[in-house]
This record gives sequence, structure tokens and C-alpha cells, in this order.
Amino acid sequence: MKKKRIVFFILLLAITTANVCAGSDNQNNVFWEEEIGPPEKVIVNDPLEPYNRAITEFNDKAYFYALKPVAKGYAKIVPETIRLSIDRCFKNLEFPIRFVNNVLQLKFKNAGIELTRFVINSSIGIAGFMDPAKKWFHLEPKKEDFGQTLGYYHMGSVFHIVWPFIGPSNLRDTIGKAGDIFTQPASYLLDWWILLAARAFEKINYTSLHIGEYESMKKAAVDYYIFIRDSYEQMRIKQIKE
Amino acid sequence: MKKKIIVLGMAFFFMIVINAGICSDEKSYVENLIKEKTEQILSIIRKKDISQKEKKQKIFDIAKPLFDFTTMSKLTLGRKYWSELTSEQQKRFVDLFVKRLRMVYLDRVDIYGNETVSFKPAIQKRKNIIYVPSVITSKNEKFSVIYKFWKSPQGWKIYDVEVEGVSIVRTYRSQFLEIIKNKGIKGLFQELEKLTQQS
Repeated sequence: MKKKRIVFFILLLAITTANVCAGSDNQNNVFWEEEIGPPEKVIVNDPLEPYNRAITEFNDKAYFYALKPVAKGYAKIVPETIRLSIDRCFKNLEFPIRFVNNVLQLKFKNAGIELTRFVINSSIGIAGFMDPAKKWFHLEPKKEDFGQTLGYYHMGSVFHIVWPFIGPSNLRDTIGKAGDIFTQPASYLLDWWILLAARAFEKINYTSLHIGEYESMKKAAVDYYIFIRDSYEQMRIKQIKE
Repeated sequence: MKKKIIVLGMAFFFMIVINAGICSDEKSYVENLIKEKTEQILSIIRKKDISQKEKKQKIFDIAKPLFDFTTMSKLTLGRKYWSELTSEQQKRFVDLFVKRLRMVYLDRVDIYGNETVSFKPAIQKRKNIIYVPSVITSKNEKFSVIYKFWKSPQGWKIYDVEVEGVSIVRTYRSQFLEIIKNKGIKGLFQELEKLTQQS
């Protein structure tokens, strides 16, 4: 009798196990197409491809022959800790973009966090050179821009476009970038050439902290135009979803 | 008789509870697996007394069993083109793809070093798919990395990695499809042969 009961329990265990954990075997062949999408499906609309490829080529040359050597020389003179501080300072100045777009996307809590970060970092953080808001109060930046806001309200990327010096973008994000200029107080206060010089400096400073990354990305690619294009669009889709 | 039915019902209920426990254990199993391997890899990256080349070999030895390269290759090529290949060609393709990935991603060992990794709780996407999200912190930035596991006949394996929303499988897929569109599947093989011979 006892033996019978044990056998019965084992049988029961086997049946329920099969039920709860089942499903993995017969899905083997199905899962992958659903997961990534059918191969014929084009993710990126790219009617300007020949132009975009040419500009990508131009940007590539601009990187290797101008930006990279300058950034490397700059990195030799200025220590990394200072360059990181400058990077933080520039990011702090972009606070209005993040704040406005968090509000536009009705992310009021994140807008509040951004405001708090700005107040703390601009004061205790010495004009944003430090990031005590993150270090002491664990407030992470909540990046949002106008391109993301447009995406949030269901605007698609429309088509891909590569800008000289700036890099990959699309129609939505180009409109977004233009919109972001209006939320920057500096664009009203300073002359255009000062703004341009500041942007150039920001780019050099940023590049000095990221030397090798573009190179390794390019090396990873089989067709680096497609690689950059798709990475950009996928990244933006994720940023909009967040 | 009634009593017996109640006992039976209760037994059945408990069995299901126990088994659900076993299944959810898979989540923590996968989570621990990637955690443990990441720790091992990080400790190798931080080692100062061995050469870069040795480091890369050691890292590859740890990482390799985690991946299901055949499924990765299938996914990148897509069912349509994959099924057009002979089994020999499929093998060759997996070989070339692995070589390529190995060359490319192990090279990053030279750039990175001071990063820290933290893991978030695993997500059960489907019965046979588990995502493990993680955050890598470097200098001023943070980026998210998601390891996508599936329950292969050989156990839980990674079939795709997503960095900041960019899936490796998907970006390779669009590049491969572009080449196939222009030069055919033969052209893709030629291109891959050429690329894996360099350096």
C-alpha cells in the first residue's frame, strides 16, 4: 500500500512538472522569427541612402583627419579628471532640454529630479563641474529631448538622414534638435559664433573621452554605414520607449 | 472516499506549487550563471600580470559556452536564407560569424577596464526565454546591456545581446541582408572570409 502511494506521488510530480515546465521543446523552431521579425522587413526607411553614405564617408574622414588628432592632442595637455568635469558641466547646461521634455511627456517626477539635480549641481557642484546630486543623493539624470517627445506622441522617424559633423539622425530627430535650440537660454543670449565654438569644444572634449570607441564600432561592422544607421535607429526607439 | 479526494486534490495543488518553484528557479539560475561568468571575466580584465592576448583567450574560454552561436547565426541570417544553405554552408557560416564576433568584441578588452557591472532581476519573457538586464557604469556614463537567454537543448544559452537598445543580431542581420541584396549569398561568404582573414 505504502509503495503504491509513493509511486503515485512520483507519477503526479512527473505529470505536473510536464505541465508547468512544458512548451520549450515545440517552440524551438518558432521562437526566432517572432523574436527578431521576418527577414524581409525593413526597419529603417532610407530613400536618401546614396547621399547618406557619402556624408557618412565625409564624417569618417573628418573624424580621422581632424577631430581625432585634435582631441588626442588636447587629451595630452588636459588631465582626464578635468575633461570629465567639463563634460559634466556641458551636460548640466543642457538641463532646460531635459526638464522641458520631461514635462512635455508628462514625466513630472523625472522633471522634478532634473530640476533638483540642476539646483544641487549648479550650486554645490560648482556650475556643474561636479555631480553631487548623483554621488550623494543618487539622483540619476533623466535624459529626454524634443526628438524623443515627438516619438512619445507617436511620430515615426520618417526617414534616415546623416548630417555633416553631427552624424546620423532622421527627420523626427532633426526637427527635435531644432526644437531643443529654443529651450536653451544660451541660444538667445550669445552670438552664433560663440555658440558654434562652444559646440566644437564640447565635441572635442567628448571625443577625447571616447577615443577608440568609434574605431572599434567601425571594425565590428561588415557594412559600417548600415551598422551605424541601424544602431542609431534602434537606440532611439529604446530611448523613446523609456 | 471524500477524504481521499480532498487529500488527492491537496497533493496535486502542492505539486504544482513545488513545480512552479522549480521553474522560477530557472530565472535565478540564469541570473546567477551570467553574474558568476561576468565576475570571472572582470577579474581577468583587471589582472595586470598577464598579456592582452592571454586575457582575450581566457575570456573567450569563459564566454564561449554561454552562447548559442548556431541560433545566433540562424537569427541573423533569417529563416529564409538559412534554409537555403546546405548543412555544410551553415556550418561554415557559423564558423565565420563566430570568428568575426570573437575578433570584434574581444578587441574591446583594450578599451575597457574600469567599468563596473550591476545586474537587475531576470525577466521571464516566455517559458523558454529569459532576459537578464544589467547596467554597466563607466566614467561619466551608464549603459544598459540585456542578455537574452533561451532554453536550448543544451541548456540556457545566450542568443542575443542588446546594448542600449541595439541588438547585435539585428544590426548584423540588416548588414548581411544588404550584402545579400547586392551581391547574393556567395558575396556574403566572400565578404566574411575577407574580413576574418584580416589581422
